Amino acid sequence: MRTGSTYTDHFRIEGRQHELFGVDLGEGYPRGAILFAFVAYVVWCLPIFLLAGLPGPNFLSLYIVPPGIVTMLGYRMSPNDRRRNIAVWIIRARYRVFGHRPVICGGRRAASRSEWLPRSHRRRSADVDELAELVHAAGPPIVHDARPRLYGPDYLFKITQNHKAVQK
Amino acid sequence: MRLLRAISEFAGVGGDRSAQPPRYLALADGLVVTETKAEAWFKLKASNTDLMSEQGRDAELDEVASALSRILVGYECHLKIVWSSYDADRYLAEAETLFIAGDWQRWAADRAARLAQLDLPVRHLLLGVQIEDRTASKGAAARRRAETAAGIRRTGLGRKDLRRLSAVSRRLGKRLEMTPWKATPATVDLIAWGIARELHRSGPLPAPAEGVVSGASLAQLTRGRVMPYPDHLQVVDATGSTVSWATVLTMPAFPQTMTSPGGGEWLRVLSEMTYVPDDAALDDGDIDEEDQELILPVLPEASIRFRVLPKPESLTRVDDTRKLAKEQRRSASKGSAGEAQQHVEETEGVMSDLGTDMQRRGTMLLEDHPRIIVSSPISLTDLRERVDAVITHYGSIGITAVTGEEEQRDLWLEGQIGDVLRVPDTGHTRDVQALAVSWWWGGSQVGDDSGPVCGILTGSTTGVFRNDITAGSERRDATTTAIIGRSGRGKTTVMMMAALDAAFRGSMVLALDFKGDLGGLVNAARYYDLPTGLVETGTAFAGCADLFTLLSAEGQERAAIEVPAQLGIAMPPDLRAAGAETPVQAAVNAAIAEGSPSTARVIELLRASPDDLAARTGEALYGLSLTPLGSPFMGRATGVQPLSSDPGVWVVQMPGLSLPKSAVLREDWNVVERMSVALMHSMLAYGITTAGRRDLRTLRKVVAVPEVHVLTATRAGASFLDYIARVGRALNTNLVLDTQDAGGIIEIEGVTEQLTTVYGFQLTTERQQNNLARLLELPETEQTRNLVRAIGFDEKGEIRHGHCIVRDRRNQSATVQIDVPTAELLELLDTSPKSQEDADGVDLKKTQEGVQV
Repeated sequence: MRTGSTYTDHFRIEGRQHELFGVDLGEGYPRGAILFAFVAYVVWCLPIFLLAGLPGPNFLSLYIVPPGIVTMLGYRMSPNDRRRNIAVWIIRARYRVFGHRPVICGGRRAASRSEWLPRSHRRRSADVDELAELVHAAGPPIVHDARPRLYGPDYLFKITQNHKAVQK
Repeated sequence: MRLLRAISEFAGVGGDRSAQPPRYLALADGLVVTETKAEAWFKLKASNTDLMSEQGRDAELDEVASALSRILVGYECHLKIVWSSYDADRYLAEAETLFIAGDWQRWAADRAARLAQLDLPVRHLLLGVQIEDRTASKGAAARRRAETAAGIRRTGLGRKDLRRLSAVSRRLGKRLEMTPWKATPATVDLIAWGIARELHRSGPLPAPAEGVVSGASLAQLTRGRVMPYPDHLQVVDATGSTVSWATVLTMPAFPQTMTSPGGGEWLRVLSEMTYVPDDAALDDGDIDEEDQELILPVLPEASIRFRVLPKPESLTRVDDTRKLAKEQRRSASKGSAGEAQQHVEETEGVMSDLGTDMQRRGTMLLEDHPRIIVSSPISLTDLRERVDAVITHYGSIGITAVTGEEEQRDLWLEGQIGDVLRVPDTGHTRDVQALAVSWWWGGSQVGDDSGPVCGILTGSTTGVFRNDITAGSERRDATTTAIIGRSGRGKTTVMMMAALDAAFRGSMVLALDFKGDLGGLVNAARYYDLPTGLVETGTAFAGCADLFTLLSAEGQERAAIEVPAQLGIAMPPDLRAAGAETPVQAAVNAAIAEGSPSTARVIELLRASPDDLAARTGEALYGLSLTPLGSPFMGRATGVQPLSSDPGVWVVQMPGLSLPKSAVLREDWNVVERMSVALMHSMLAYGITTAGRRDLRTLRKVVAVPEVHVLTATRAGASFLDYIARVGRALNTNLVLDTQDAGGIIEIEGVTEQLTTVYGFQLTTERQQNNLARLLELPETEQTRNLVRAIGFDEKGEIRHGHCIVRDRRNQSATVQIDVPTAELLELLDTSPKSQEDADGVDLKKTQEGVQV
């Protein structure tokens, strides 16, 4: 018998910060989360600060709450795989922007806009029939509503004779 | 850009997701060159592991782990496991080189139609190794852009580069050839097929020019489009029709330890996954109603990018992790937490041990990124059922497989030959043994590489089983095939199918029908326009099977022993008990001394002897020599020979033959049984020596002998069979033996040494099961005995005719289902006691009275 070992989980252990600036943090906070929060606050607060300056008492929550929520929710592990929610959100956004574009002839040419999957098909759908109705259209359908009148040879002969008579 | 990449990796979305799809520049034998890299591609050979002993498997796993550690360390590798259907039309083309006699075209067409009906999946193992990074050279990208802008950019590859890369590929290939994978450079056709099949293209592939596919021909390979939905891909061909649906699964979680044998063989089991189509698919009209009751194979494919980490890199990584865990432990102990989390402490210990293993025992680590690709040509619903089946199967062995939601495009591109790793965050770090125990190259493989297809492999991987019973003499190899097992399991049918294949190859096939159930062979031969005939022995052929005549080429010494032994079998037991063998021996010696001896002359000498015992023995034997059973070997020769020496199928039946059961003691044989055994003795020698005539030396010859256990039941018979097997080899005659007594065969060293192929059917006693295991080169364990006992039953416990274990000339063993291609042929070959009428009016009905075996 031979046994092989997978060490993935061991290599993925995360450092926790048990103490920060002299403050005992108990069981500790993941260092990645602290860094993520820092980046989130900088990315969120810096532009607002540059636009609107320091926050007033009515708008303090606008500075603090959104990055806090993003950190809390985004740093959690996704239920389905090994990724964090933030990674799943980024992948989802990437799919909406790039990932739905067809690969044509092995990538030899880029897909044109008309060849992209329609927005309605870019969401995970369990409805097979809906996908079966997919139509790759470059615009609205062209409706043919022509109602031609049919003219038989007798009538053509008649009008031809009339025309000759008029010319004479 | 670097900042963006760093943020992406921190967020867990790293990798080259935005990289362009591979732009192929050239394909050649063993080589794929794209704009960004060059890869050496090899075809790996499957190993026959289903019935391998545990020691054998462990040894092979160790070899593979060593190969991964020594040869592939540091290389970016890409392993692909893909499937195709067995091309039945190819067998028709092969048949032109195999068969020459009769209506072989119809024979081959029947077999090809059957293979097409079976639609056997064939597994292909491909390994790609990156040998050059073409983006590394400075200015390469800039030069390409400049050339493209100026319109002077050349497609394809320069000769100098091609020669250099090809040499690197060959050097690597020589090293991989020595591994259990027996890697050979993948042909350019195979590589082209591997690329084209990703788009499920079925049209003809471009022919390589001077061994290279490049330029416009390459463009043909990737014609089509792939539509990436959130959870699957839709493959559309050049005409706009959907040809396939596919889903790529990632495998984010594995058990910490995986064993072999056991759940660790996660790649070998790809061929074992099955599913049952749902009712909804029936409503679409895509699947026949009959299929609903079938369990269908899923046949998922695998694409694994891996890299064996060099030792310094592994040690650094292990040490860094150990230090982090240690730092965490110390940090926690300083504060109110007191101690770190349990998994952190466990990691410290594991990393410490791993570091020691790496330093002292040479353990190596690798990173791999496994993907499973499930596809369906039927419908999206069918695809989802297959995906569910795969996820469930892996879940049962502790492996998590999930659909790569909203990254199907990236995952699909990543699986292409020549692409890069695009989704790195679901990969794994493990020791090389953990990848080796997946047994991706393991499966079932037995039989010849070429020759007639006789059946299908029924092990963990399917395929065709080929065997040519006449190939031994051409290879200057052993020439005896043994078919062993209990009655009613298909032994005689196997013999007849092998005889027909040999006859179509232009052989002279002589079947000695002791049991009376080979008449179907004549009918089948006639059905396929092969020269054939059924001959019955009798008084018309008196003396034709006299051992003095048959063994004359070996000198009289052999006959001096065998003739008395034969007459000893034939004579009444009371005379033998009275010591009649002595005067018989004396009479034989006297006949030899006279010159031109014959058995009839021996009997005359006995009758004329003044000794009462000798005279009575002579009279008894004389009476027996006048019977149809005795006349061929004891009668005065008439000079008429019963057999034709032309190629074809010739069945010799002996009417009135009644062979004793192997359990009946020799002393209890009645007169018919004694004469039957003695005649069998003689007809066997007749068959061998007729086949071994000088004028027939260049002709392929087969002598088929059923019920050989009757011969092996007596010491004289066993000795005779030993002799015949050796003589047959010298006479360039292939022997096919059919028996229920595996032990009897083992005891005859001459026969065992000459065995090239063994077919093992069901046996039920422990002794015989062990004996069969020895002949099959399998360990004599409870597992093997269970296999031998169960081989004759299907899942429902019903008899499974034609299912057996085969040991081939390379001493490999696997389970095989012998397959008769048409129902008409099966009916013709039926060996049950139902009557089979011969068109010539010869009664082929098995003799009911006295037939014991």
